[in-house]
Amino acid sequence: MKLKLLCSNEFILAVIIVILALVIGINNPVFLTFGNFITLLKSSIVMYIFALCVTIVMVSGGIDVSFPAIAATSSYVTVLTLLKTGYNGSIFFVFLMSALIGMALGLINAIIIYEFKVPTLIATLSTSAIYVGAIGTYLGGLKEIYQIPAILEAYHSRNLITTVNAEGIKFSLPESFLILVVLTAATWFVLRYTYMGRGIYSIGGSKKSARRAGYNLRLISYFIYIYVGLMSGIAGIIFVTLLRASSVRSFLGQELIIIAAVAMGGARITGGKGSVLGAILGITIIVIIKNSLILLGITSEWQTFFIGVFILLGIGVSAYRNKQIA
Amino acid sequence: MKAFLMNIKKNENDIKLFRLIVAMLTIFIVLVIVLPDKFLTLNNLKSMAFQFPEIGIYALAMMLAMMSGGIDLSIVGIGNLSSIVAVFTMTRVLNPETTSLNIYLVMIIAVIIGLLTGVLCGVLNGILITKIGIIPILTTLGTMQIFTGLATGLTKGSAVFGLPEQYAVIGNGYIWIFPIPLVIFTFMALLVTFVLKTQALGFNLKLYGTNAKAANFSGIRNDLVVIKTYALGGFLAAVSGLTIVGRTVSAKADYGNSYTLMALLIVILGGVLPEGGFGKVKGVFFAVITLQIISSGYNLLRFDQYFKNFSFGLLVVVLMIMNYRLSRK
Amino acid sequence: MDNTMIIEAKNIKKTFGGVQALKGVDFKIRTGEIHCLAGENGSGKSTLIKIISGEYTPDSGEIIIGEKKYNNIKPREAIHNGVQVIYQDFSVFPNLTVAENIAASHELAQNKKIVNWKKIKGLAVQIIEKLNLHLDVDAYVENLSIADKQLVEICRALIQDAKVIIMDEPTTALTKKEVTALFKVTSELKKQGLAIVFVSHKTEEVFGFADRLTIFRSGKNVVSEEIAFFNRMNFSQYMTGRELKDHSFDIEINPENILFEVKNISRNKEFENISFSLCEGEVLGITGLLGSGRTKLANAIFGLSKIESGEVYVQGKKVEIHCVRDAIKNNIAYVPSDRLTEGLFLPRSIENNLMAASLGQYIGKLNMINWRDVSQKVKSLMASMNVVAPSAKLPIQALSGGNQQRVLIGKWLNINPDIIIMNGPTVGVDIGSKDDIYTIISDMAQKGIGVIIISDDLPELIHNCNRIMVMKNGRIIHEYQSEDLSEQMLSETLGEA
Repeated sequence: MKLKLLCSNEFILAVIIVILALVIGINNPVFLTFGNFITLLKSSIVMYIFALCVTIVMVSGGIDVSFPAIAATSSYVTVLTLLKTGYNGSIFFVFLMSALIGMALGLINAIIIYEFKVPTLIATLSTSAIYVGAIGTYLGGLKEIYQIPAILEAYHSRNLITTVNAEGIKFSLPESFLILVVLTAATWFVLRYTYMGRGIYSIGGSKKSARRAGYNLRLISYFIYIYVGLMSGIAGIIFVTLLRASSVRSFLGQELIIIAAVAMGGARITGGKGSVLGAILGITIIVIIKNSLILLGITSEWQTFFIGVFILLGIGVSAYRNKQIA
Repeated sequence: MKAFLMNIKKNENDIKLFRLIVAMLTIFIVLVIVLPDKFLTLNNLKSMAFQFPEIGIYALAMMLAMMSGGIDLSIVGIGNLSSIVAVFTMTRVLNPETTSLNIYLVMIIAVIIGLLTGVLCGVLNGILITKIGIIPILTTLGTMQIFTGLATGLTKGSAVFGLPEQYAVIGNGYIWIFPIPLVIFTFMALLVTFVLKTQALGFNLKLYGTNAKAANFSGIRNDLVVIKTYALGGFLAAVSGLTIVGRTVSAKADYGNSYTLMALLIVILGGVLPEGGFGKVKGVFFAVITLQIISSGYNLLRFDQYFKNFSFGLLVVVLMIMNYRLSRK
Repeated sequence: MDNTMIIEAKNIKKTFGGVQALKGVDFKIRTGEIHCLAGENGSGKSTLIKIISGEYTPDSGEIIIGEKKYNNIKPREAIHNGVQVIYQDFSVFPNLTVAENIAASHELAQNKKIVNWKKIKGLAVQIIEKLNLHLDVDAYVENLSIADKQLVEICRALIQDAKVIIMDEPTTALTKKEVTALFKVTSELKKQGLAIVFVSHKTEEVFGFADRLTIFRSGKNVVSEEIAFFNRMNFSQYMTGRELKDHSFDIEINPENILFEVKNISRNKEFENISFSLCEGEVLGITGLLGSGRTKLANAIFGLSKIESGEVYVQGKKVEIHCVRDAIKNNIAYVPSDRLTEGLFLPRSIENNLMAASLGQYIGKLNMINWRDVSQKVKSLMASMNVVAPSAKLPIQALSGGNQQRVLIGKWLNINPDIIIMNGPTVGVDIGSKDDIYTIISDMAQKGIGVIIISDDLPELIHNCNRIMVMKNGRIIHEYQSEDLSEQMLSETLGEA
């Protein structure tokens, strides 16, 4: 039993993270400060939420690349609505609106994928273009909004932890971190302790057996994509409050990194295996690498290249190991 | 009854092609009516004839990857990287002014190096897919990042100029009445047809794409088939990239961002099955033209790129749904 | 014993892509009765089971359970009505634990929403102990042997509050001891009033355990009577529809010409120290329980996996086989057991399928395929294999199982093999085609091609082979000359624990 724990994917990842952190920390002590830790955490809240989305879909055996587009679309529409109506009540309704839009978009995904059997990759690649394209077309272009609604500006300033370092620079962990914690716990619970979640694993393992065992494939598929929509919608608003701007463009392009990180975290692309913990660890590694590239002084032009190399390395190692086992 | 079944399979392909050609002609006619003095002009037709080969050759590359049961999201990255390498060769490494070499020799060498780059990129894709075992979508997502990243790093993100003006003829000149890009596309289409219909690689590719396991059991060297297919795809992507540079007379790391989605749309429209094993060049050909007509129409109607992306995404979904319903009957 | 009818299938018809699997069958399941459903491969038995369980929808007919009539029963409804099926092709979840595999659908059927892992583990342990098995509930099913996977499947079915248990060929991987244990449990369940249906074609199981026997043939229910009505003679007559033809082929064996030989070949965890030789005119049979290593052996000889030690000789020459291409180059052919996924390219044409392994013979100038030669060869192959189809461009999935199998054999004959290994050559094939294939086999042997047949079908082996080897746990445990052999002896050897 103990041996199993030591050999598990998650444990190996955790060890790698500790080693990486130490190596980088020795090279550049800034890395290991509490302030830096908080900054990293803050900048990756959205990525962690996206990782939850990808994990659920991947466990069921699919690949969803539309989550950034859903986040962008639902948050953009919500922000525009806020600007127009000047709403300044509870932030809860802002999140609710974005979540509902996200769920609607997720529903569309579910219909295309389940009812019409369109392969998940092609379906979500297309719906990404459809959702962003639709708001671009029907809502007058994708403006970059720098004067975000007051209500969001206010939320930006709500922090959980604030700390000041020796030079007087302030670091703060926003309240939205709590939302991440809640979503993570909820997703973990669903996957581990509900039959909806077990149904997702079962579909990923063998659709045929899942059907025979009595799982309601339609219900489960709809749940997956609507839930992803919900989380994406929420992530979208969080992103806007962190960035203090609404920029659709900044959402897009993250698909690969998140998917790769989740795959590195132990989720099988073919489905049936994966965990929330693994996804979190995978993203953590990526975040650390990204941060270290910056600290190493690699220009932004070359960052894309190095991250790509590293990702392929990560996926490659895990794929190669799977190949040997097979 | 068996003859009946045979007709069904044949009919499915024919129906798709027929629908495609009808759609193409319909859209063409609609645009002629809606834009009477803009669409049917010589200028517009000329500009379409110069543009569609670029995306057409990318579509051929995508087609090959899809027929092998995979997908190649790195084609535009390969195209851009190859063209940048070629342009660097022409302007820095072998600059005709400083090295006093014949300018045509320089261009030829540069083109060859560019094509080689494309092939190598394709081979990398193939090796990652077969020897390491990363599925095509993740592999090509990763290599797209790497190729584009490399290109961005090399060019520091800005466009590269300084090409010899003789090179511009590739993208803007004619052989008799035919635009050179069109000629290049035709040759590439013929090349792909040649491989698919007469070469063992084409035959094995189709078998592999249909059922990789049975292909292995039949003695087909699956790994080699995949590597050669992606290598050929890389070659085609490089050809397209080099042709584009001929037209724009500059090279940029992120040119043609929407081309990948367009290429995907074209191959699906053209009847290539995402599961692998099936596809026809003539289907892709008509699909390319259809899409070019739509694209030009959009430009003339002043639709922005968002609508373009929106409608292309929508088209892919609608097509896949139609295909699904067709296969259910 | 009051045997009430609990499930009745009435006039069920089902067609798959042009082939009529069930032509209007009736089937009655009664409580407290062990009802055997027998029939040759392709007779429709599995199809009927899948219709009763809800996996397939019949084209017409109805399933009557108690008071309710269903035209289109769903899996959850079937389960809810107490129907539990142990499938032949296993419906396990390889990525999940044994415990979850066994107990989850039970909880699901009770509409539980939250998972109680303790209960799941408890339920699993309970049934495992009851059946006296040795399974690790925390193990992942993908790591289990085939026999253990089958046991997991059986546990899963038996754990539920079933009223009807249907077992589709449940004993293919089990030893005699395990089979006895299984049927002891089922007869206990029968005493408690359950209805048991098991599908089998093994005579000793049929006569040993069944109360009632129904025989399907070519999609029709040809007879359904209490077991006393049957004897071995009328049993095979009902099964095959005709007098058993005597297939003893008189082929000259030339012991001087050794076509194929293996010496002490092994592959870790798969097979060990296998040695045998094949001479001209011989047909060698290999059999064993599921999981005995026969297929793994064939795979290694054919280059699908590597032989780790020992030597292989073709026509007296030592050969090194590292991949399938090597095997083909050395004139070894292999007709695999799973025709649909390993042997054929279903949506592709007959022509494509026939040429898949031998295209290299038709390459001409400029590396171009000579399609004219190909067409000609295809025509002659179809004729010699007796494949009935209006055109070679037809997708092979339109053909019947028998025709498909003949195309597959034709594909391999086209590489001009010295030896051909056939794994399950007549699975899913109708009677007429079976006979054709046996004739093809004897032709091949006569032409000097060494034939190795791997099969579960004991009569088939006895009728076609000169020698039969029995494998168990990766080793050869017995070799018989078939003239000395009876089906009973062979099946006893197989079942030995």
